[in-house]
Amino acid sequence: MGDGVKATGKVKPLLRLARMFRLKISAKILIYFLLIALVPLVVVSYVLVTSANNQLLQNASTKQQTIATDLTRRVNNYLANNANLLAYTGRLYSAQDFDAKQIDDSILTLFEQNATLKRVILMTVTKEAGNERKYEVLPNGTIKIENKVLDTSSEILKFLENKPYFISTGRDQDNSPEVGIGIPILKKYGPANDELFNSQGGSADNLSGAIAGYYDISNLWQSVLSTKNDNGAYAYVVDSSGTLVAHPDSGFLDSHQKIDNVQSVRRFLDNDLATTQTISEKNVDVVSTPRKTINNWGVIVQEPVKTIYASINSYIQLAATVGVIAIFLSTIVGIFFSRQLIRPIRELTMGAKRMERGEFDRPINVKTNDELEELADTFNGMAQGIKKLISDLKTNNVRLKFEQIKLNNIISSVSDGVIAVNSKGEILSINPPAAKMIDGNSKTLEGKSITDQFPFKHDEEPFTPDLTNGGIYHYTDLTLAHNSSIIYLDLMVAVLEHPDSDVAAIITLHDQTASRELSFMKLDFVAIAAHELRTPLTVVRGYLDILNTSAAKELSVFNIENLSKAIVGANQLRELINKLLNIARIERGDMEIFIEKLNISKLVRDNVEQHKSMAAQKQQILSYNSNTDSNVYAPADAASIVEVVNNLIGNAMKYNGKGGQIVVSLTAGEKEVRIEVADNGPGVPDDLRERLFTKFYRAERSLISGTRGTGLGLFISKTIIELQNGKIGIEPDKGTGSTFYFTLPIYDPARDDEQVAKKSSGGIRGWFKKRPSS
Amino acid sequence: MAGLKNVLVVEDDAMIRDLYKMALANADYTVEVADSADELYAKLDRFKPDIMFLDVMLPGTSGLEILKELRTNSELDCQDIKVVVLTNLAQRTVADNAMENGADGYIIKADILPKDLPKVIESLEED
Repeated sequence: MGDGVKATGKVKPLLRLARMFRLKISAKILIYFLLIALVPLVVVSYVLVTSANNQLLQNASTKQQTIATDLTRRVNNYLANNANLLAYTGRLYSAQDFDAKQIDDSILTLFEQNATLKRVILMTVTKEAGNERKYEVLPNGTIKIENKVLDTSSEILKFLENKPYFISTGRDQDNSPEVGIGIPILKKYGPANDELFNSQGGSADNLSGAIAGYYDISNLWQSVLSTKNDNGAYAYVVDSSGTLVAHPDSGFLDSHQKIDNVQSVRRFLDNDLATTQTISEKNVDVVSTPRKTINNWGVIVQEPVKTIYASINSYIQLAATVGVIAIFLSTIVGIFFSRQLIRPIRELTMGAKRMERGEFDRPINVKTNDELEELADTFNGMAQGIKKLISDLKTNNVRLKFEQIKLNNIISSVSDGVIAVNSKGEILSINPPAAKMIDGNSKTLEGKSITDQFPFKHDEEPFTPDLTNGGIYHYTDLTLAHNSSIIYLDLMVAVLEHPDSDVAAIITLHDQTASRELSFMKLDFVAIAAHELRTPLTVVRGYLDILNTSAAKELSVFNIENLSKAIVGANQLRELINKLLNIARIERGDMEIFIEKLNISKLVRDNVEQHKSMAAQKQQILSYNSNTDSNVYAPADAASIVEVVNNLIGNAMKYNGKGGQIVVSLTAGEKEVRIEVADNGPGVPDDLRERLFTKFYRAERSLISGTRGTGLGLFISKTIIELQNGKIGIEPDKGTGSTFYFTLPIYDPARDDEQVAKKSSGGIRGWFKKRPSS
Repeated sequence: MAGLKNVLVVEDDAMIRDLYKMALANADYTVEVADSADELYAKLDRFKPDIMFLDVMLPGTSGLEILKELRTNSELDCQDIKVVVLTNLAQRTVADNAMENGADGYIIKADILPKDLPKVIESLEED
C-alpha cells in the first residue's frame, strides 16, 4: 500500500513534465526539421573550424619562425660587424704600440664607415697610470677628441678581464637607445682565429687596454621592432637576464625593466625556443617564438592568438549565416510539411468533434491517399454505423417506451401480484394486487425489503426466493400470513440473467387461496356425494345379498342369473365410489394407510384365485408363480394393496382378448418383493406409457375395444405404492403384450415393528378392528 | 368375554337398520334398534346390550358424542360394552377419532355385507 502511494507520488511530476512537453505535432515536425538541418551543419562547421585553426596555427608558427630567425640574424650581423671592426682596430693599436695619429685615423675611419657610431673610447693602461681617449660625434658632425686620466679601476677594464668582449645597452642624453661594444686590447695576442668578434679575452696581466664603441641602434631597432605581419606579429628583445632591451612600445619599454617573470620570457630564459602558445609581456594569449642572439639576447616574436584565429571568424560567420538560412528554410519547409500533414488530422479532429455533437451527415474529406485517408474513411464508416445505431436506438426506444406503457398497463391490470426487485431484494415497483396482499400501498412499499414485507413460508419454514441465478423459478404451496388470515400463493420468480437496469428479478404472486378453497369444496362435495351414494348402495347390496342367500331355493335359473348381474353391478358401483373417495383423499393429502406385517405372498395368491372364475368366463388363462414357497411379508396396508392387485389383474383381463394369458409372478428378493402382472395382449404404445399413471388416463384404444373404466386405477395404485415406499411401473414394450409391476420393501422387524398400525381388518371387507394397544 | 348376545343397532336409516336387524336375528342374536340418541337412551333403561353398532351420522346428537357419553357416563352402565362405529364417510379420520374415543372398531357400511356382521361380533369375542 505504502509503495503504491510512493509510486503515484513519483509518477505525478513525470506526468506533469510530459504534459508540459506535449507539443503540437506541428511544433514537433519543426523541431525535427531544424535538427535535420542543423546537426550536420554544426558538425561540419566544427570540423572545418578545428582543421582551419590548426592550419592557421601552423602557418603562423612557420611565419614567426622565419621572422624570428631573420631578425636574429640581422641583430647578430650588426653586432658582429661592429665588434669585429673594433677588435681589428684594437689589434692594430696593440701592434703599433700606440701611434696616436694612426689610431685616430683608423678610429675616424670607423666613424666614416658607420653613421650609427656615436662615440669611441680607447683606454690604455700601464702599471703606473691609465689614459682614456674619447672620440665623440658632435651634433654638427665634427668629431671631438679629448683625453683624460683613466682610473685604473675602470669598470670596463675589470669587466673585460678574461672576456673577449662586452656588449651593453643604454640610452644617450637624447634618450636614443644605444648599444656599447667593448673589446679588450691585449699585450700579447694568441694565434689569430675566426672566433666570434675575432677577439680574445685576456688576464689582467695581459690586458693593455680596451676599445669600446657606442652605437645608436635606433635604426636597427626600428627595423627590427617595426617588423610586423598581417596578423599583428611583433618582436621585442630581452637580454640574458630577462631585462627588456628593446620594445616597439616605447611607453612599455620605459615602464618595464626586468620582465623575466613573463611566461614567454621565462621560456626563453629556460632555453625553450619552440613555437608555442603562451602569455605575453602584456598578459595577452599569444603564440610566441624566442630566438637567441650571439650575445645571448632573446628576440621574441609573438602574435596574439586572437589575431591568428581572426580569419576563422569569417568561417564562423559563414557557418552562422548558413545556419540561419538553414533554420529559416527548414522552418518554412517544416511549417509547409506540418501544414500538409496536420490539415487532414485537423480535418479528422473537426470531423470527430462534429460526431461528438451528433452531426453524422457531413463526411470527413481527406484525400491524402495514405493511412490518414484510410483513417478518415474508417471514421466515416464509423459515423454511418453510429448514425444507424442511434436511429435503431431511437426506434427501439420508442418501441421500448411503448412496451413499457403496455407492460405497466398489464402489470397494473393483472389480478396477480407483480413485484420488481433489485439484486438486494429491495422493491422497485409493486402493483396494487401485490400490495393489497399485505394491505400496503404501492408507493410506500418501494425501496423496502421484500423479505421484510412478504414473510413467505413453505411448510412452516421461512422462505426467501433465490435472486442470484438467472432463470425462471416456480415455487408452489407457499403461505403468507397477514392479519390473522393466511394467503396461499404460487410464486413465479424470473431472475434476469444480465440485469442491464436495476431490476434483478420479477416476482409474480399468484393467489391460490380462493382456488384452494374451491378445490377443497369440490373434494368435500365429492366426499359428501360419495357418502350420500353409499347409503342407498349399502341398502341395495344388503337386500341383494339376502335375496342371493335364498335364491337357489326360490328363484328360477334365469332370475338367479339376473340377480348375480345386479350384484356385479352393485359391486362395480361400490368400487367406483371407493375410487372417487380415494382420489379425493389423495387430492386433499389425507390418504391414509395402515401399515401392518402383511403376508404379501398369500394376499397375491388369494387374489389370483378369486379372479380365476372371472378369467374362465372370459376364456383367459390366469396363473400365479413365485420364486419361493414360504410366506413373504411386507410392511404394507392390506386393503390398499388389494386394491392395487385388483386393479392390475383387472386391467390385464380387461385389455386382453379371449384366450389371452395372464401371468402373475412374485419374486422375493433380499430387500424387496416384486409383483409382476404380464399379459400377452396388444401392449401399450410408447407415447402413452408416460401418461398411464396420471389421473383420468385411459389408453385410447380402450374406447375402440369398448372396455369400460374410470382411468383412475393406475393413478391411485401409484399413490398407494409410493406411500408405502414401493415402486410401480410398466416394463419396456417387448412386442409381447405388457408387463406391469410394483415393488414393496421386505418386512424388517427391527425397522417396521414400531410403525405397524394399531388396526387390522381381520379378513372381513369393510371391518376395521381396533388393535389392542400394547 | 365370550357370549356377546345382546346387540343394539343405532342407525337412522330404516332400511339399513332393518337389514342389520334381520341379519343379526337370523344369527340368533337378541337385537334391539334405535334411530336416534333419544331412542337409544330410552332403550338403555330396559335393555342392556353387550355390543352396540353405532352410526356416526345421526340426526341431532352425533354418534361420536354418544360414544363419549357412553364411555364417560357411569350411570348409563355402558362403559364396558363393545362399540362398533358405522360410517360411510370418506375420511378415515372420523373412524380414527371414534377409536380414540373408545370404539372397538369401525365398519364401512358400503363395503360390508350384513351377513358378515356375526363374524365381526365373533372377532370381538376373541379378545
